[in-house]
Amino acid sequence: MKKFNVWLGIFLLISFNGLKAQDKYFTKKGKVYFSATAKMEKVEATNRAAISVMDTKTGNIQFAVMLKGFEFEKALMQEHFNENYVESDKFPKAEFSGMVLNNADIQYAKDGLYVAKVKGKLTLHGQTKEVEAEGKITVKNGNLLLNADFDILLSDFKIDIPNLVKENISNDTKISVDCLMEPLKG
Amino acid sequence: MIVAVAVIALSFYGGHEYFRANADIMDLNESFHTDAVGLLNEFVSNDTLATKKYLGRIIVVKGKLNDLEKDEKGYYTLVLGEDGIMSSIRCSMDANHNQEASTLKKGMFISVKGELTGYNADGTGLLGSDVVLNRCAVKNQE
Repeated sequence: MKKFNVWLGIFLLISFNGLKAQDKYFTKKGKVYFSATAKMEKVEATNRAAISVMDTKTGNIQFAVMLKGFEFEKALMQEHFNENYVESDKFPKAEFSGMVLNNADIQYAKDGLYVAKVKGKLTLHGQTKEVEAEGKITVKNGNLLLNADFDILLSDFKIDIPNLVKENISNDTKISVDCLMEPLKG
Repeated sequence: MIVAVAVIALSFYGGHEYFRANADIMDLNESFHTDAVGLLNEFVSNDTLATKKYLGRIIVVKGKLNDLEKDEKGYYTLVLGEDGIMSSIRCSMDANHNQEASTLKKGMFISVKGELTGYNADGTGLLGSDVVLNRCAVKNQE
């Protein structure tokens, strides 16, 4: 009986560890959508190679995206975005570092959809600003899907829209993040 | 009359420029031919210098396909590198060439053409440092 209890204890310990959520998650294939659509022009781009890391214990979350990796439908728009607006030769990357403020409300070990309030510092065009968003974390089959929309003003990041094109490019910009993250081993 | 012709010509040019789509990556001249290990070493040794040399350039990089990743929307990323080393060259496939990746197998030696868009240095020691290429197409496979 004693031997059985020891083996039962070991079995339960292993099973419990198997059911626990992982602490760190990552992706190197995150999607980031950029939209500065104005009255006269649809200005949208997609980047499919964002890198993101999240620590579910602390709620720390970071992502980075290469600005030259944003793909626009029109070549001229892509060239202007890189050369005139974000100046990606000088500032190749946009980065976010922040926290899930209501991290304690999210049950990372249980499949479900959870509201996540995210706040942190966004660095773009050499400028860093505090931003926040209400997003979603979907826990499913041991992975996390993070979705969040950040509304920013390009002028806050010293990205100036010339008067001539104010009807074509909006200062109010949306950056949407869509990252399917897997557990980080190690 | 000459002015009218000039205005019409300029209008056509302007219209053409405005609606111009990105050129296919395979139609663009590459600035560099290199191998995955050599390229990674350049960035690891001095990423400032390597970024100045390669950022925004069209390059052809040859290497071992260590991993073939497909995201939830069906887009492929080719991961070139060496066994046992986390750092790699990550090649995000161009939408027009995405399906070329479906015929590839891990372990193959391939050449990929793409635009070098940046370098992610790994400060954690957990993820590996990556050189990132976008708009990629498979140039050759062995």
